[in-house]
Amino acid sequence: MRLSGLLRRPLVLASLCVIFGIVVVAMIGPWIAPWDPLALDQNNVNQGSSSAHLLGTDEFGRDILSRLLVGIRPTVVVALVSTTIAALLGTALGIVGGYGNRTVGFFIMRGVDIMLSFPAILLALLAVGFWQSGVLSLSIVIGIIFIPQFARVAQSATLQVLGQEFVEAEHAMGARYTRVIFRAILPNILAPLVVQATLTIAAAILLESGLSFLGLGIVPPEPSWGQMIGTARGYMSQNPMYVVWPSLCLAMTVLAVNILGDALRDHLDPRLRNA
Amino acid sequence: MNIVRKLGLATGLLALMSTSAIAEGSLWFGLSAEPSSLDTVVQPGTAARTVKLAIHRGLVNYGIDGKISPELAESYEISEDARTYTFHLRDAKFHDGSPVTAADVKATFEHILDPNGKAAFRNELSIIDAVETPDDKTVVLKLSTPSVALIGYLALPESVIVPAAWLAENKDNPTATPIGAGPFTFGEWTRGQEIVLEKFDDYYKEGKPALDEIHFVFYGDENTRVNALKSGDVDIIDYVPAKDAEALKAGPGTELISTYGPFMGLQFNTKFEPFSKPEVRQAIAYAVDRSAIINTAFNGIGAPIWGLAIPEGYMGYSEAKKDYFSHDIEKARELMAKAGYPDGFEARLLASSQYSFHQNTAVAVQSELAKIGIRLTLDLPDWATRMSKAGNADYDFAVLGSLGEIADPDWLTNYYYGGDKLVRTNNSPYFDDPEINGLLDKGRATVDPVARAEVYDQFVDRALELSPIVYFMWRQQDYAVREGVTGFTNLPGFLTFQSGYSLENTKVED
Amino acid sequence: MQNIGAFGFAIGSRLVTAIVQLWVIATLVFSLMYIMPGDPVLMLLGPDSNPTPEAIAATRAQLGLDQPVLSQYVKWLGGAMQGNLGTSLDGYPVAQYIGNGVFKTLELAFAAILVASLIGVPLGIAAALNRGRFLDGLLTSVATLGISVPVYILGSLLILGLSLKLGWLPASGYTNMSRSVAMHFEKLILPAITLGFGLAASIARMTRSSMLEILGKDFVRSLRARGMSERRIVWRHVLRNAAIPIVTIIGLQLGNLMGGTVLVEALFNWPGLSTLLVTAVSNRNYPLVQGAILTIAALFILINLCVDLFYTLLDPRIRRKRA
Repeated sequence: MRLSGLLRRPLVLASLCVIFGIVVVAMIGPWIAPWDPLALDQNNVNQGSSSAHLLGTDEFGRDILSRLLVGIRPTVVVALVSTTIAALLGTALGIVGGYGNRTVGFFIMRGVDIMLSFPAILLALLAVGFWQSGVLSLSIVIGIIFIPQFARVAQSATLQVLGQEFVEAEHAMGARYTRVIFRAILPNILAPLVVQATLTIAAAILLESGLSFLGLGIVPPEPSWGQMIGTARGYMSQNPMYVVWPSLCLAMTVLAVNILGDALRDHLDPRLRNA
Repeated sequence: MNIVRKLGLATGLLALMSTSAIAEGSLWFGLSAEPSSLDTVVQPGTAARTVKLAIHRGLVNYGIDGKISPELAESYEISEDARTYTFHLRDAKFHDGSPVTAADVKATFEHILDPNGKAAFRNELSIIDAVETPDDKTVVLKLSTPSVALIGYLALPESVIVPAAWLAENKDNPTATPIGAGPFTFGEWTRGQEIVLEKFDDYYKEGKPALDEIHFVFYGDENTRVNALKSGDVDIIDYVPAKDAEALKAGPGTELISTYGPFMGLQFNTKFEPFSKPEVRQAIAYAVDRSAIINTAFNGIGAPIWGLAIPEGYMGYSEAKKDYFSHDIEKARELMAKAGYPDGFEARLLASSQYSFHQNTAVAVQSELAKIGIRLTLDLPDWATRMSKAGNADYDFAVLGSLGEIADPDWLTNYYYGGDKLVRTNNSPYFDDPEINGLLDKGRATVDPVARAEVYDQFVDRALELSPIVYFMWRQQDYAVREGVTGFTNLPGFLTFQSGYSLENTKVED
Repeated sequence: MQNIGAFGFAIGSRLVTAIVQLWVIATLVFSLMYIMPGDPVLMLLGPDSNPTPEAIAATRAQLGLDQPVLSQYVKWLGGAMQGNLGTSLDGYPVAQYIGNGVFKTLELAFAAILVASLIGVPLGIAAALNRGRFLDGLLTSVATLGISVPVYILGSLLILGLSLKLGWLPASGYTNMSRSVAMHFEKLILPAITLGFGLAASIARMTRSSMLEILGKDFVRSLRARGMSERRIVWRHVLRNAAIPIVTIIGLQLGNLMGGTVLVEALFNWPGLSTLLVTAVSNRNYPLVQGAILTIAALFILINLCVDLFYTLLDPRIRRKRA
């Protein structure tokens, strides 16, 4: 896999920069935020841009820029943790579904079908209703929701790999299952999984923001982008830029992840490359 | 492309035809919720009350001036000892054409007083010992204890009169078509979408109602509701969010109908140790800058309360006591120290994410109380969870947004009385002060207005001293209408949620 | 004729799977509802009015909510198997609520798919035919942007611009066809566009890649070698082959929309199944939640089944394999 070719594409490079920037800000956001994102200022509510508040203030007089910077973290953490959960469990299920015992595999894949037959956002809506929502519970719920997609990808990739000679060679040499899985299968199904991971990150960000938008996400007063957009929607006539900033940030992030995902897929999927 | 053109053509043609299909006097009412029930004796919220008051009338109701207005009863007398209420019925008809008689009134009250029934105000009305019907047009209520407050409860939308025959048949049938004696008849309820009411031609008030039909359309989301009014999808909306009030007031094309009705405050679980001490509750009353809440959570709209939430003009209102508290951090710290918490403590504040003004009040309170060392965790579940937590006293303290049910000072009982049910949705759980209980009992039974006012003055002193509930502000409760909608009145003060009464006067001009 | 038998068997096994799927979902939702905090009786009687314990107990008994959970479950399942979704807590049949909502959701979904296909398919084809050129880059970027913008942002912007500022279209609601057909369609336009925009983007992307896949096939090369005109190749052969995956994708998107309309329904106060579900959840109206979810899942499964059947019937490769 030569990834250097990817870096030569300006759009991909730009996306990588955006993603890198977001991850960095997610780590250091609270330290570079010019204001305390939770500090109320009753005399300065719904202000436009000024030298004190670059992006203005929200309905509590809190600094929007600071809230954006700090609000990245829950967005990023939820996206990454949920994708990790989905990837680990989904891949494991997919490999077992493809490589393991037939009966077990059958039930696993039917289970995956059942989960897939249910719209993600409705599941999340129900699940988040039960627990006090927060970064952890959101991550788990969203993670579980995306397990079946990973399982599907992992299973079909595993089935493809199984037919190839080197796997049969390992079997012929009497290798144990775990060795086959980790030495032969996993490295060879990694490419589609990486692509799936980028798609899942984008989808997880959108889902988290959608839930926060519906008031089911991150608990106030902690900021998150989706929640900011949901609130700002009500202030569109008073402070139009309030809704614009978080929307821009969110769309840009998802766009960057999607561009990267597309590029990776084009690069890793031999069918498309040769077409 | 062909399909698109065809569709466009069809739409155009139908647009020409369809204007005539919409009746002249139709009012489209954007309601903040779908009523969970139209059962008259249940009180599931403002949306249901608005619809109920369009369909039904009681013996008396609260009129547009906030005073008791005789409705199905032409007149009434309360005996000197406040133990006998006599009502003289007028000639009115129910929607099924039958006359409103004393027997219907009797059946209605028997239904309300049924110990296994669902009546929301059964407790308050249970002092009715007997309903006597000397003739078809006279009803006499005999009370077990004297009460001058009863008339207020009889005026509520939950005490409206329904036909005896209808009750006999439909008492346990929640899907029965509602029949009342109010200005509009029940038309259709498209579940999840709208309730349609039609004009009742035999309504007992000459020339009313003006409207031919009302469509109550359910708009749960506040932003969507406001947009619907602005774009003309509906003619009137309830629960205007504070952030939109100014814009809708300024128009063009929209008007705001406002009143200060509900109050915002805090109710304390007195089993949570710090909140068992009156000093701590008072400290909180001193610590919270009311303008911080009004300016942030309510967009600058609202009036601060520095004493008890008794509206001016109501019995118990005291000019001298209205500024009992002030914004005084030093005093708050002293009180905290006196109570044994010089460094503050940690507590959970319950509110709800479902209503932005509840959530925003909690956020503002959190920031204000941090200044005297009270560190808050916000608990912001949806409304159903919030209410069931309130019902189980599963909180340290909670944001209270409510109002008095009636204009009579006995509304205070619901908030301050101890008694045998110490956890209620609107009281401070486990708060039980014999002196306050005694004053409330006495106030209810005192007939002479001057003597009665004295009782409530004493009550106010005691209530401020103990401060089981701390009040922050009067919330402006707004309806917004499109230009051309006239005659809708926001009933003053606590009665704002009974404004559906004025739909009988409402007109729409195109 | 033997493949008709095989076909029937395939349908039969799919139906069995579908029933098992619905059962698992129903059971899952049933158990979730019972661990959820909040009391349906309290919501029904009005929590603000301090219902008396007697009233609460009486109502609970009347609704059968005082029965053990297991017997409630068995009773509900028994009803559901006979097609009876039970009674909503306010006394009306759940089926009546569902009946009011389901067609509105379907209407919105079909309208959105129509919008999305009319935009997405031509753009996808154009991009594929111009692979690597400027137009392709532009269309691909726009499509990627399209799937990156959350529907609620797009919807809010459309309401603000087209409805509140310009006053061209209503901002919300639903008008029955019997009342005003024109108004009915006017109110459909904005939600359909909002929902259709993101879908158009993903349909365009998938159309593009299906086209590219077919364009890369050997038979295209041999057709070219035989000197057939490029135009004829594209319109007669490539499109015909690419049509199957494209239609399949559109079908799958339609299935996803059964629950995927929730944000748009909320934004435009569209009284469909999702709005019903969200309200029912907030009122803890258990039977209604179960009924709505089951309906959504059943529609999803049904649509996917139809898509699969269509795919099996039309795809020459699969047909050949079976024969």
